[in-house]
Formats: sequence, C-alpha cells, structure tokens
Amino acid sequence: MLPLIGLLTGIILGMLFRVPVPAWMARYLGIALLAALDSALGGLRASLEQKFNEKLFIGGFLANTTIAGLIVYIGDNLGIEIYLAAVVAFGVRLFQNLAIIRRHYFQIHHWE
Amino acid sequence: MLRAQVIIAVALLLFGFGLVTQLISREQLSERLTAQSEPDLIQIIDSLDAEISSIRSELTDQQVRLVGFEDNETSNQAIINRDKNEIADLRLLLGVEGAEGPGIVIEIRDRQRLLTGFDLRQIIEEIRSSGAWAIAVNGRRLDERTSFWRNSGSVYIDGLKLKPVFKIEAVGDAGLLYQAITLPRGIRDKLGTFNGVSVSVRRQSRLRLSAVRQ
Repeated sequence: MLPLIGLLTGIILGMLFRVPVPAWMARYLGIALLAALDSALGGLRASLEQKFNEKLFIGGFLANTTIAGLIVYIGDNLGIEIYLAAVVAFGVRLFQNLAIIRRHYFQIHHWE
Repeated sequence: MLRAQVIIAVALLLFGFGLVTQLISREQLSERLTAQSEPDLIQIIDSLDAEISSIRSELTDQQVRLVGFEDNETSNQAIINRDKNEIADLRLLLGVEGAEGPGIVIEIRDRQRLLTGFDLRQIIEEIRSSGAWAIAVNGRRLDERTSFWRNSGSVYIDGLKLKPVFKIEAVGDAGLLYQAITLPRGIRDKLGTFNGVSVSVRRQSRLRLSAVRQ
C-alpha cells in the first residue's frame, strides 16, 4: 500500500510544482525514469521475497539512474544510440519483475 | 518490512514526480508547436530545411577542400612542371633562346627576283604548322613579330634586305618537315613553277640556331 501512496504523492507533487525541463534534458530524464521504475519494481519484488536490502536498493537506484543518463550522454557523443541497450535491459527486467510481483500477489491472496 | 516499503515508496515518489514532470514538459513542447499558426510552422520548417542544406553544402565544401589539400602537393608540382614546360616552349617559339636539334635546310634560288615576302611567309607557315619550333632565314632567327615584304625587287625581313638565295633553317621533326615541303603539288612544286626559281631541301641531323637577341 505504501508504495502506491508514494507513487500517487509523487504524481501530485509533480502536477503541483510543474518543474520545467529543458528539451535537451528530456531524453536523460526519460531513461533515468525507466531506470528508477526498474529499481523500484526490483525493490518491491525483493521485499515480497523477503530479501530486501536497503543499501543494495538505494545504491542500485542511484547507480542505475546515473549510469542510464551517462549512457545517453556517451551515445549522443559517439553518434551511437547506446541508450537503446539500456532501454532493452531495463525493459526486460521490468517485465520480469512485474510478472514475479503479480505472481506473489496471486499467491498471497490465494487466487490461484 | 515497513522500512523496505517506505524506501520503495520514496523511490516511487521520485519516479512519479519525474514522470509527471516529463509528461508535462513534453506536452508543453507540443503545445508550443500546435499554438504556432500554419505559416509560422512552415517558416520554422523552411528555416530548418535551409539550415540543413547549408550545413550539407558546407560539408561538401569542406570535403572538397580536404581533397584539394591532399592533392595539393602533387598538383602544385604538376603546375610548376607544366608552367616550366610552357615557358621553355614559349622561349623557343619567341626565339629568346638558341635552338638546337634535328631539322631541315631549304635553299631557294631566285635568279630573276620573282619571289615576294608572301611566298616566304607561306613556306614558313607550312613548316611551322608541321611542327618546326625554331626557324631562321639567312641566319636570322624568326619570332612572332617577324615581317616580310618586298620592295624594288628585293625581299626584306624585319627591314633587312635578304640576298636572293634564301636559306631557311627549321628545327623540328626532320622527317615531317621534309615531307611538308616536298609533298607532291606542295610548296616546292609550286615555287618550282616560277621561272628561275629552284628549291632544294635537305635533312640535317643537327642544326643550331642562335637566339633573336643575343
């Protein structure tokens, strides 16, 4: 429940503050968001599996978002769209995590 | 367990905040574009097109310049060589330098003094078009300004009276020059029809002509 509240609070705060993002930063923010979502879902899955480690989670969250932004920057400067690699990697893991989380909830609520 | 939930909630809060910020700014960007009138958009596209084409042409220019720079050394050398050759050719043609090489010697005897400067000019043009690059008449080297004329029975070359035995020396391909003069119905046959005019041509493996001005 708490994660959902956090997500909603974030959405409301974003709507209230309306921070302007420069056009060049949009790509960086996009990939960083994907990394953040991946980390959050990874954390959720770990907590459901009783394996959550907060240091690992916070470190992963920060490292993933930063490195994702860095990959976009490197790709832009090399003229190669390396960020696609990050999109694929995060995307695949995101869906795997989602599937595992879904299964957990099914097990918890005995819907199976 | 609760702690984990809180941390994940914070992460999702950050995610939600970023997501909304991103969505809003993208929406604003597209709103800005839709707010522009059609002519404005056309102008924007036009200016972008112009920018792209100018960048492309600049790129092409730079590539051409690059190729030019790469070729520069060889082409410079080629230009210098070509110019050197041209200058040497011009110096020979203008008679600035002495000429040496194979050629022919034409001797024309005109006992009755019938020949004019025009006849001599004809012979000279004939051998010049056959590739003679240095010509002298009675030892006097010709250049592009040489003139012939006839006055009271004598032929003058650049104002100097010529003796009636004209000795024309020409440096060039001896075989070609010989053929040009001795061609049937050519210049030799034509001059031979004049009374008292005899033309003799002989090939020479080595001729030396002095410069117009020493």
